[in-house]
Amino acid sequence: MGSAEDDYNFVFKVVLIGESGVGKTNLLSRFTRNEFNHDSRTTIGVEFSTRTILVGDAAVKAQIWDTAGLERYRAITSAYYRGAVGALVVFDITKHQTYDVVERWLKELYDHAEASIVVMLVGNKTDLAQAREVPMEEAKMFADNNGLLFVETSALDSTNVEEAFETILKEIFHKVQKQKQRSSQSNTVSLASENPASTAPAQEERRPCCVAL
Amino acid sequence: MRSNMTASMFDLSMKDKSRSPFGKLKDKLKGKRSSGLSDTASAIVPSTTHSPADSEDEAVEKEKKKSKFKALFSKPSLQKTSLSQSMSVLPTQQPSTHRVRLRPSDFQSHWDEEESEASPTSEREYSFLDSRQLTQGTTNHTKKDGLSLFSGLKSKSDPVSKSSLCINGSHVYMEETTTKDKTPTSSPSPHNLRRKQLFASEENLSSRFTKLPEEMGRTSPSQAPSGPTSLDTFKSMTLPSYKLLSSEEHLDTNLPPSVETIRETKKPDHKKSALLSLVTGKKETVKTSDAENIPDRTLQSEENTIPEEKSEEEAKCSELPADLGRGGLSGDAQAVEDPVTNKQQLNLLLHVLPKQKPFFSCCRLHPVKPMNAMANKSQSKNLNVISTMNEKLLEMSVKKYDPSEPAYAYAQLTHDELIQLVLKQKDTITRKDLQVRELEDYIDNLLVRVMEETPNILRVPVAGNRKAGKM
Repeated sequence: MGSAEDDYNFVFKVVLIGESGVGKTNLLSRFTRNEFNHDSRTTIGVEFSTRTILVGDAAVKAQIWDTAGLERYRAITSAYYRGAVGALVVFDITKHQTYDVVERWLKELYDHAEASIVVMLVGNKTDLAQAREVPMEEAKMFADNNGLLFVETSALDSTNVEEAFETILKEIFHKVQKQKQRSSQSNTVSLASENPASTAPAQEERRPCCVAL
Repeated sequence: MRSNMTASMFDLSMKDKSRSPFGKLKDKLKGKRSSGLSDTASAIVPSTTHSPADSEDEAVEKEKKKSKFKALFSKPSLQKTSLSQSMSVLPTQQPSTHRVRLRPSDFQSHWDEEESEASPTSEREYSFLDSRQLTQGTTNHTKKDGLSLFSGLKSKSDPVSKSSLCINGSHVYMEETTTKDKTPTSSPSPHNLRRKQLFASEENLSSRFTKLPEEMGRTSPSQAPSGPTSLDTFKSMTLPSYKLLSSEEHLDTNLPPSVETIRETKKPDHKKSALLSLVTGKKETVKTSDAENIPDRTLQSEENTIPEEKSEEEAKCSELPADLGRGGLSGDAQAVEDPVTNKQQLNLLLHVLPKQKPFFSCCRLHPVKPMNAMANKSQSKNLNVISTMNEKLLEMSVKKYDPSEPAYAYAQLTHDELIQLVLKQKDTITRKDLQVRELEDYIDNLLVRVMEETPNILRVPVAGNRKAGKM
């Protein structure tokens, strides 16, 4: 099938995690559909959206997974993190509590995901800067100390949303390229080997002339 | 005659002074106000000691004062026999004389204000007094007054209610006086004749007065409802005393016989004290005091008219039976035809309101309207504040029972019932939580299978459009 989904060189699975209400679903909808829902409800279940971007001359298909920011252990947890090559740990800059639990989310992430996973700390809701409770410097320092990417975004006004996803996808791409070079024999990235996508992960194919995303 | 009177008065005053602090206060006042102020003024001074909380004491004192006043009225006309009876009564009542202190304060406020506003219409007072005596001289009024006073003391345990009762009696009395005052008929010349008649009527009062203790038990309950108008009682009480003084001094020729009777009979101590104070003040500035007293009354009559209007409005507003719970206020408004000064009304309201609040909250359906009417008319800020507070309380109680609200179904449940309900709800919630958890686990397991087998199913619906477009 010559579908647009097949017209990519790589498929990267990225997961969104963080406390409930920090704006994970709206970040996803803003990036993949350029939509923002002002009265979105708590996410139920699990879902993902995709968007293909160009990294260099490679088409990278981002498969971004979203689920409810629930604390309790869920049967889907392991399945949720399985095969993820990137993760966005999102907190709300207007609610310090959501920033305080970032470490807990990181622990869960490292417990279930590949050690080589690329993690980005995302402070969302910069449009509510007047109610900011988490100084950007503090979050930036924390990210640097833990080897995390960091960016502040606003899904509401689209600030830095594109940049956030492009940054992590590029980082993942570079990491994959390094791994590829190291293990030159295999043309498949180890991180993407378990990609749930039915099509072969990280395949290099010709880009379609018209990609409907 | 007059000389005799004064001598007797002094004797009484001396006794009183030794007995009660009230007399001391009077002395102090007299010393301070040696010049124009009348005895009444001296009597007023004690007001500083007056404490609103001691409503019972006040009521007692009021009664005593009333009795004094009555005695004064009656004195001129009182017969020796009646006097002897009154004397017998006196000893029993004397113990309470020390309470008299509190009373003076109430009088003070009235008098001071009135005095300051002293009007030249002294003649009116006389006429007024005369007319009142003539018309009211009838035993019925006097009986009511005496009964109401006693009933207030004995029958009602609550100090407020007592005071109110006393007021009612006085109130009735006052109403008549006020109406008469308004009438222009009063003329200085006929006073003497009228006074004689009045004295006769007063005699009846004195006799009644002695009998009162017995009647108290019977009459008190029936008269109790009228009680709320405590303010009236004060004024009424004060008025008689002034009248006596003025009448005695100015109408010395007419009065002499009454004075003699007083001497012989030696009325109760409280009466004596009042008389003494009056006499002492009178001697120096009798005329001035009289003049002052007269204007005061006129002022009172004017004030009375206003309160009456208020009371009528209030009555209209509060037609519901619930108003009964309110009792004191509405009753006061209606009954209080003697408009005491605003201050006095405020004091009374303050006393009555706190005790009656529960009634308001429970019983009143439309408390707000009457209260507002009162406040507006009185124009006193304090009243407004109280009324607003009462309104809030009422509103709160009313809101609870608003049937339109969903909470109405639970408003009538008892505390225990509510607790049971809460426990039941808690139980169901825990059960529901378990069910939800089980369902979540089930869904999660299904999700895991989908994620592992056919993750594309979890793609956000937008993909469907794409696929359709592709198709």
